[in-house]
Amino acid sequence: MSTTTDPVTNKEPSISKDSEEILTKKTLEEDDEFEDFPVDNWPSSATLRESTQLQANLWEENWDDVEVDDDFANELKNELDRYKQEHQ
Amino acid sequence: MQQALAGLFQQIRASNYDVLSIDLKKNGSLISSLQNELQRFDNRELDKLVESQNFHNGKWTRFNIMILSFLKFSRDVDPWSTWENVDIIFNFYSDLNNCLLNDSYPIDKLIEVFLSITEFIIPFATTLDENYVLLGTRQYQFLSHTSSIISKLFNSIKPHSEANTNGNVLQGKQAILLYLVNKLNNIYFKIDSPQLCSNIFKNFKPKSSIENFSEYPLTQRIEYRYLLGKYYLTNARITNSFVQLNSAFDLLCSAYNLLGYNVHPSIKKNALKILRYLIPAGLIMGKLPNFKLIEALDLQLASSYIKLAHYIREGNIKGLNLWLQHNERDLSHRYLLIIFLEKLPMIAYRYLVRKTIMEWSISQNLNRLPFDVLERMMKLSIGDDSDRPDLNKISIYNGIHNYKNVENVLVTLINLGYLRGNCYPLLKVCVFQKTQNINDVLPPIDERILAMFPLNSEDAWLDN
Amino acid sequence: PAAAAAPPLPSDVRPPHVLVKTLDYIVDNLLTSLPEGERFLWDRMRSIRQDFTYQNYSGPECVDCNERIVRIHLLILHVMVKSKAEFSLQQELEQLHKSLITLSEIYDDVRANGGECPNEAEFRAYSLLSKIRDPQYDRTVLSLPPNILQNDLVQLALCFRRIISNSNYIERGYVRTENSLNFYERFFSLLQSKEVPFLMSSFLETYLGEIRFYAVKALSHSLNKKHKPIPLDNLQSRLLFNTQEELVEFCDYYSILIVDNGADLKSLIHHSHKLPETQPLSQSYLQSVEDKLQATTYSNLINSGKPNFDSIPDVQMA
Repeated sequence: MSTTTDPVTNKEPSISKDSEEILTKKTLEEDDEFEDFPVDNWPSSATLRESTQLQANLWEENWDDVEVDDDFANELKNELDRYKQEHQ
Repeated sequence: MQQALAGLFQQIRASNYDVLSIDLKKNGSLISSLQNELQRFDNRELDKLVESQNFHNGKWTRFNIMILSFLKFSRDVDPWSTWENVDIIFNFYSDLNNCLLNDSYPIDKLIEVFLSITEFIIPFATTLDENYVLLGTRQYQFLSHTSSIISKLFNSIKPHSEANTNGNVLQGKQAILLYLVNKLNNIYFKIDSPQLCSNIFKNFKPKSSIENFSEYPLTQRIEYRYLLGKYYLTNARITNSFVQLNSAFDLLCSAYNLLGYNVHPSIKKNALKILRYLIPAGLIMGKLPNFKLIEALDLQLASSYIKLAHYIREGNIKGLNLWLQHNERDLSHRYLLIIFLEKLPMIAYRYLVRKTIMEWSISQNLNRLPFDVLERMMKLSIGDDSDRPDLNKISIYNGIHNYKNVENVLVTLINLGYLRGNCYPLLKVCVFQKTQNINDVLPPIDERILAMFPLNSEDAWLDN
Repeated sequence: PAAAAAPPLPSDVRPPHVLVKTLDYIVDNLLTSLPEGERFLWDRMRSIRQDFTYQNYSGPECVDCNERIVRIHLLILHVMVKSKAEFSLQQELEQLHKSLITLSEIYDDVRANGGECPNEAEFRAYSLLSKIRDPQYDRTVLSLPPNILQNDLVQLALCFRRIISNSNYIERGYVRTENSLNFYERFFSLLQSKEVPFLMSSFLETYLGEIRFYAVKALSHSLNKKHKPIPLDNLQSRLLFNTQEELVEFCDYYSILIVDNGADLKSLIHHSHKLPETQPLSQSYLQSVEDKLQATTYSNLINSGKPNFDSIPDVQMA
């Protein structure tokens, strides 16, 4: 019998055939779950130093200091100018 | 006695429990031999057979039940049908789990088997649940069942003072405590019941025999903080969420070079999974992500959030709402839609008020802002749909904000500590300190948030 | 039923179709007995729900009855407050919550079996308002199919939940969260608008007291300490009190000083809308909501849904 016994999991059961269409909603948040970390890829002290720098850079120093200059900003500015003129 | 069966019993006697694997990929040949040999046994005979082996001197009933369950599985398993095997698989898993509940038996060697079968069961249950419509089962039936089995084991764990550590190595169930915590919380998210995580998070520390979280394996710690941060975010607890997710990302970066050319894809993927929640939490905290860095990891994620960050920074409520609407499906799926809808506008308003004060008040050396000046700005930011009858259908994108709510926006900003000033409702003006430095009027957001929303002290031990 | 009470005899439990008839009778003949008849209605509706529970039945009749019972409770909330008649708000809300929970369970069950109840969205919207500060309810609605989320009433309910979110809200067991809006001005203007149907408005009226309190708290915090009292008529229209007497009652309750026909908001010392060891402030209603009610009839309001029969597969809860 051992020769005829294919592992269950190798042969997908018939139920999963049509299931892909049915399950359009979501596949149980699969894309949110962590994948197994590789065991053979343990950090060396060299990468350790390099990468802490990376983390330090994930956030910009201060969002307030980033100046925006685009259509919407100009629209706001023009509107203020109009208001000033109207109230002089 | 038959060869395979005799071999099995011998291995069990020697506590080599690998033979108890129900994964046909790994253990198929033993199981198929057992199946041949067990065909002539009915349940009663199997029962007798197990009893005759006198495992553990016959004193560990649950162990015998578990072995019996394994033999039934081997006898009855149908290699061609997953569905037919559901009962015998879950019976075995549950019986195995029952063996582990009572610490007075030699359970340590069974823990390995439990782990490997858990790794088999969860994807198995997930596949079944993904097909619940075809199977006619309840949604999430099998994952729920799996979680109830695992949580029994979790609940059975007690913090023994020294018995569980040998030098620095955790022993027995203590060694898998964080593993179980993460498995359970992952399942709870999968089955749309993140509220169930709360009990696990609460009981983790009391069950742990060690004082320092850092003694747990690094990868499990990263995952724990990720799940905890995600949990806080679904409960709109932004600061707590940010701190946990940020340290998950931090730990990951300290262990792996994400931008290295030989970084394993799974590491990069996990980093992205953290970022998908960390960026939202950060934006709500008024923090701007370094998009260059995020681009290097995922172009699409970066380009999408660059737009959102831009709308917030320019104080554009309409743009913010359009962005939310555009990403509605994905955001709903991650429970972020409502959080964003509620928590981002005040940051955008702060920038709108900031711009107005800079361009109007400070530039004219005034220490006041008339409401009707801000109203003009808000009209541009929010839009004015009141004269468009076709738009009078109220949605989450047009029902919350209105340019007439000037005073209310200022009052809320003052109450959040984002604006230092006073309102004069009768004079319809907001007055603040006379200054050339806008930061005197609008202090940095994250300082204010941290002052108003302290971290959960129950998490303090995670930093030890 | 109380644990100690003996289960009823099978012959005493009315079958589903009889329960529907009973409720039909109530809707057609007894609603006009309000406000005096409130106690009787409350009792009759509870017993209808109990009879469904006794026979463990959750088919279309049960959905229909629970839906209409929810609407009746919503109607009662406004009618009782308007008439100033004595009644237990807490008991009314308790039955309302129970009916909503029953309905949510049945809707889930019907969906798990491939069906969908025609009025589900309306009652999901009420559920969102029933625990208006519990984030769990936002998650629930996001996990439902998009057509529920897109429904007008659900969208409105989600708006109101955001509008009343408040980082200064203080109550036992409630965790404050960041950047909340506390848009009390928007709350009042949206609640008055015709887009918000009567039944939903009636439910939202139960929050008037706390919204007003936190509006005053926020305003008070934003005023300069030397700010003079706010004239009562200004405050009255701001907080949408029907009369100045109601406003004065409110100020008295929270010990807000009234000086020269103005309320000195800076004198507010309370942090929470709930005062310890004090009877809650009496409930309020809005004239604009009363106007919405006048524009329709009780039975139109209650029988407003789509029929449940034919559209639900026959499902019985295990």
